[in-house]
Amino acid sequence: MHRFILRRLLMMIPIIIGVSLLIFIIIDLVPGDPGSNLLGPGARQEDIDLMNEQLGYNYPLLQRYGVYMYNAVFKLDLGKSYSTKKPVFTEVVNRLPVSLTVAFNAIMFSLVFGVPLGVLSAVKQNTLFDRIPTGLALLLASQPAFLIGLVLMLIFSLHLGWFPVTGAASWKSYIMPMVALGLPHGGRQLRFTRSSMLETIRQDYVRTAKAKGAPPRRVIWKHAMQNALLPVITVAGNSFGVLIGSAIATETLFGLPGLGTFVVMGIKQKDVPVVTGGIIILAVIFSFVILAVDISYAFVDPRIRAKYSGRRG
Amino acid sequence: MKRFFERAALLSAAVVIFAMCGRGFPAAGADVRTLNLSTLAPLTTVDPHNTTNLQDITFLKQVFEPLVFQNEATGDYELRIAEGYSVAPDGLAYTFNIRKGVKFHNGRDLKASDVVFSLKRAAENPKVRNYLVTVADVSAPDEYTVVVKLKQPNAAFLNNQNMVFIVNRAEVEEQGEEFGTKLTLAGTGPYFLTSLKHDVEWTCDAFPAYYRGEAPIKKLHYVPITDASAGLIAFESGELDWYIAPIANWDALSSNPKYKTELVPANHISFICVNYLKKPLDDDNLRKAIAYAIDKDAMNIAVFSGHAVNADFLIGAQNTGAPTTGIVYDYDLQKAKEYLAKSAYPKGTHIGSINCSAGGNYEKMAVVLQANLAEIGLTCDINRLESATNLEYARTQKFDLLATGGEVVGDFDAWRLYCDTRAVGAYYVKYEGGKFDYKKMDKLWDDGISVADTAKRKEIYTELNNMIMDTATMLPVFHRPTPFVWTTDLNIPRNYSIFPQVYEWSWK
Repeated sequence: MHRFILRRLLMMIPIIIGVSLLIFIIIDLVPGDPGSNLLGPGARQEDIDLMNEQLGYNYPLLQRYGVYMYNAVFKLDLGKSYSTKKPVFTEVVNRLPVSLTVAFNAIMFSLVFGVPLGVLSAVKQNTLFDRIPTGLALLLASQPAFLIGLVLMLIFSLHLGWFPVTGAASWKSYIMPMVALGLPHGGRQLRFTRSSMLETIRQDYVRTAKAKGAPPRRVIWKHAMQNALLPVITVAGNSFGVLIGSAIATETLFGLPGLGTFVVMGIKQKDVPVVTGGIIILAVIFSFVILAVDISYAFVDPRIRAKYSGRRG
Repeated sequence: MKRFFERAALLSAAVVIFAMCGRGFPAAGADVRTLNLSTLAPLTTVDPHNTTNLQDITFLKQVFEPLVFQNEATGDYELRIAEGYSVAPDGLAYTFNIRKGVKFHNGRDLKASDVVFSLKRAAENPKVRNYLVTVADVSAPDEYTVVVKLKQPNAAFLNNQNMVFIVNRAEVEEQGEEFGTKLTLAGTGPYFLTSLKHDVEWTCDAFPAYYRGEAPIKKLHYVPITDASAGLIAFESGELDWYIAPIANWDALSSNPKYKTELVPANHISFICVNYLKKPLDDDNLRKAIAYAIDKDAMNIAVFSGHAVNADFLIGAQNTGAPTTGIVYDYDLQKAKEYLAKSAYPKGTHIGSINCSAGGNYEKMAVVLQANLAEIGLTCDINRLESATNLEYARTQKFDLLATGGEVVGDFDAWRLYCDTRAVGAYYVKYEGGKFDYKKMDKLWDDGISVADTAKRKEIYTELNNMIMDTATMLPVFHRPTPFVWTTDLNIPRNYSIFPQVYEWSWK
């Protein structure tokens, strides 16, 4: 297990180099320069040139990349934002808890909502207990998070006054973003759990357990559920990684200062340190999440646990 | 399995607690009502010399002050940190008498040396140095006098001072490179910062020692709300006391007795650029056909539900030097068809693409323009671009037609940077080296800025406006409306088109 984790950690090095170089090249290919974007329409060319020079944007691409990576690796310095002049590392660290909170809670909400209903739907296949959740899942999975967010705002902020519309001032601010982001994923989880569960309960070992007289609840929760959960965990883990960086619409709508909005603002302003730093951190987080998902298999699947135990022995 | 879910629940709780660390509830006085406001974007900085971002300036104007303030509604100059000023007969020197007894928020006295420091500091930053580009030297002969010498006469100098804020030298130097990124008390304005989280919220208190008297509203609380629908819901649910509402909601809001509303034409112009350097748009008659085909009313309805003010000239009439007579292209299909018939291109010609930023008002303008041109038999595509790419293409003339706009505040000279023939790369339509008399345009720009007499300036700018209109390359469409909405217990004597003056507001 340790060797597996170490190997996966070492694999992150080429990933980070690849991602950062790709970002540098892509941003360089996008028309325009940071000086023009920061100074806006009507700026004089000499001011734009001066701005680019002050930002170090006039050096060749590879030189900029080399300096950036040297500082990032040896000094943990991801540069300063062109627009705010704040250290990118600090900005990312400040925003990371917001994105992690929203993404993690949205995933947990989607699991709590989607997995039990998915199991119920599979166990009671072709009954109302199946059709209603499946229809609901289809409806939710097809709705964009910002639309659900607006509906939640109208109900819970405007009419009931339970939660603040925007901001990240208190725990209440995180409830609606969590639900808005979690509901569509919950719908997808429900459908995924249902199909995974249907496949599992038709397996021989489940039939054997039933034939041996095991109680139905034990058959479902102990024998079928554990195996059906493996693909569900994979989907949830991947979704978590994606949600951290891509919950832009939700962050924008609810005024949450997360990583997604940070990177998008950086892209709009050609703020190279922000985009590169933000995406490197996202790539690292995503890699760790995938690693965590793989490790979690061992907790859920006794066969994998036994495999690693065997190696150790 | 049970243990797995237990661990997951614990981790979830830990993440929530981690995220809550360091994030407190907004500070609110126990017995003083806080005014809740919003901006459309997080604060990028609180250094007033390091931003031209409209959202930043909207807030920073409550905290920092210039020497002289230009009233957006009347165009008049009002004295702020300067209690008086005089201009040398040759227009090459401005002498400002600095107000005595002005205190910075940190308690220090404002001296002429702070003003000299501020002007010199601003002149070094590319973001704002444009406002001081004609300044040759700044000096302080005594503690309360500042002399600004110019390289050439500049009638828009005072207008530009409106955006150059005075900061406390000592505090800026103490904070060094961190100035702008953390709490500062280096301003002299009616409000001082009490807390600052650039992308979450920031608060201010009324400055008791403010030289014009303490502001009636004692506490401000700002939050950035980037989504217009969310902002409106925040206003309607009572989280905000004042808001610039989406125009689509104007009719509902203005008829609701729970709110007060005011529709103010913005000091902004939306316009169409035509790239005469490209075929077939190099044809003078074809461009005039396009100019007469633009249905401003239809665009106004499509974009602003008819609430914008149609524009005949390049700048709003409230600004210094703004023309009020001259060449105007009113929607006239007959004339448009006549000009098209006179051109070298037949009906059915494809004239290229209309560039615009994707997803906003300019895209709607482009859609209407496409339909307008189809009415006279011209076809074109719409090229929806990401805003930074659109700007770059505009500046490098990589477009056929361009639907765009911008704030042009205070003085006709502000338009200069959109079409000045010498500011290489900074304009949308390239006149230099082209077939139009760009040397005369340059001379008129220079003459306009050199003359102090307002009537004479208006005459010069009218001629210049006519020259540009005659090229049919920059076609004004409308001045967009700004729909203000606020709670009935808030007393606002007047809303300004861009920058609110919260100092003038009070609770009922």
